[in-house]
Amino acid sequence: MKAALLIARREIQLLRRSRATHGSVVLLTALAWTPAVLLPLRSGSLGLSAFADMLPLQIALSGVVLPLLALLAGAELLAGEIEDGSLIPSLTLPLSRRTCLAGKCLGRSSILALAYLIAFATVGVAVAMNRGIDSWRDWAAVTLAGLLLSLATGGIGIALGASGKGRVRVFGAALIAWIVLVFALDGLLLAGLVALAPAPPTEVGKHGHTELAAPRQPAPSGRSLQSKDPHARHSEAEAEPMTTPSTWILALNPVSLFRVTALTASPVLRPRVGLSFPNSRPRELLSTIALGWLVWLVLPLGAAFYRFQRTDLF
Amino acid sequence: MSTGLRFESVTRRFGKLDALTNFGLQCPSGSMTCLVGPNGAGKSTALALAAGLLPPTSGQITVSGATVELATPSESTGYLPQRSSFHALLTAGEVLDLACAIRSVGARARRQVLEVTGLREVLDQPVGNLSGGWLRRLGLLSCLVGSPQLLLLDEPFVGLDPETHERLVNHLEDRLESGATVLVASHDFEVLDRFNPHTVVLVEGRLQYIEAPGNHDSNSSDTRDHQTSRSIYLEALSGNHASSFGKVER
Repeated sequence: MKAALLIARREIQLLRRSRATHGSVVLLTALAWTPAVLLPLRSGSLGLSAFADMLPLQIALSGVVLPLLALLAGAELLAGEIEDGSLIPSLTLPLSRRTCLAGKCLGRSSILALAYLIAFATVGVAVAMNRGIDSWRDWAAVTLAGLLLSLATGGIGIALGASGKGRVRVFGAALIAWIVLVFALDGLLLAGLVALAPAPPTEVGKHGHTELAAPRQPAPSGRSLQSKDPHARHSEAEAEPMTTPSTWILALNPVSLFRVTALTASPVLRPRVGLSFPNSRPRELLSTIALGWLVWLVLPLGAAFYRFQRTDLF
Repeated sequence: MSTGLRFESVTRRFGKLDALTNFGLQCPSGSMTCLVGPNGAGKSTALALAAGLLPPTSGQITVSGATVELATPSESTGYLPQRSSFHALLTAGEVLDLACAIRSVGARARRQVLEVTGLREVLDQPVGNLSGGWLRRLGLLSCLVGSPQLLLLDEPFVGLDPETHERLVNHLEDRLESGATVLVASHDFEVLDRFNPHTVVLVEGRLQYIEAPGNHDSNSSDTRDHQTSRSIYLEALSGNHASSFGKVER
């Protein structure tokens, strides 16, 4: 434990001086401020938007940007040092690879998580002072779900970097993983969700076209959340509850799980996508989400530790 | 004399290349064994295997009777790789601090290793600003701190100035007297002969020849009675070595 903490301290020393870390902090800050600053510009005004208005855009942006940042940061954790040989001196000390990796993970995740939380906390304080604190809990829940997404995808990046391949190959693999998680798998799971859901009844809408009477399958996608069509909005009483099997499907992808988590935690967003909890939040749904995150946090890191134990460093 | 380090029929392959084939060797405690051989003979591979940084394809390596496990270096082992690479953003002092903290070394041992390596004046410098010679000394520092009982040194004398070179030789002599086991890969034959080492000649990953200590004489030019490391090496390469001088383990 002491050795892992020593390695974590060394990792923090390195990151404080690294340009890549400074760049990541700038990107996280930009990500945090974009929804707050960008939305009022649509109406030609300067200022900050309210928490409730920021949520859809924040979910959409975080679901794309955070996995990319975390995958690259995770991949770099081992790939860079393996390639330039600077990992060898640490491993020649009486220090197991497991301890070394644990310390590096601890150091890097703590400093990047701190940067993330500070960036979003400054936005939260600024918005609260300018637009009030309505729906701040929803916004905080989405922010914390983003942190979980970053940790999970960061773990996948670490597992890729533990292969001992060169930087270029590992970063290439990280980019492919990003495309798969954010676009391909996400789309596939949503399609699966639609396919498994019972056929929705249709009716002729007020505008004369056929529309969903109620979105029986939730579409926890950032894109669909941005709809401003009043007919797409339904009260909680009208909407169907999200069923546990649906959540299981979405839990197969950390990006989809992030959206489900954000929506589940947000009473403001739930009615917009037809998600409701008639009495209270179903225990199964929360259990599924918690278990999903547990798996996504533990599994990639477990794979990274397993792989790193067997990696040839020469 | 007890066996500090033992290779038992160790083979290591990199793809189709056999870096080390059926390698057997015993390095007694309190003695130095030097691995010599042409480039690519498998010397560095043997050291990395003993350090637990590479797994053997087959065979076993033991240190004081305990099997060397990949990814779990022994507390009693110090390893100097051929190329000393440290993270450029760390200072030399931070590298030393980490090594001392992990080996639970006190201020006295820290001072001692700083005296041997002469690194005191660059402790505040980022590693990225250090020259090759300073980096070599930093590698030595990381290897020697805490006085490990098994020293695995890959070309330890390369790139050192004469003063540091002499201090290192004196330090290694002290360590050998205190019972440490030293396995060194080097082509610095004149220095090696000062330690009266076991000389092991490796050629294309195979053990070619072992010369026991006692047959060395760094001051003699008569290679028929007294062998220098250089003459052992050259004779082994040419295939003219006298079998009475040593035995080959295959």
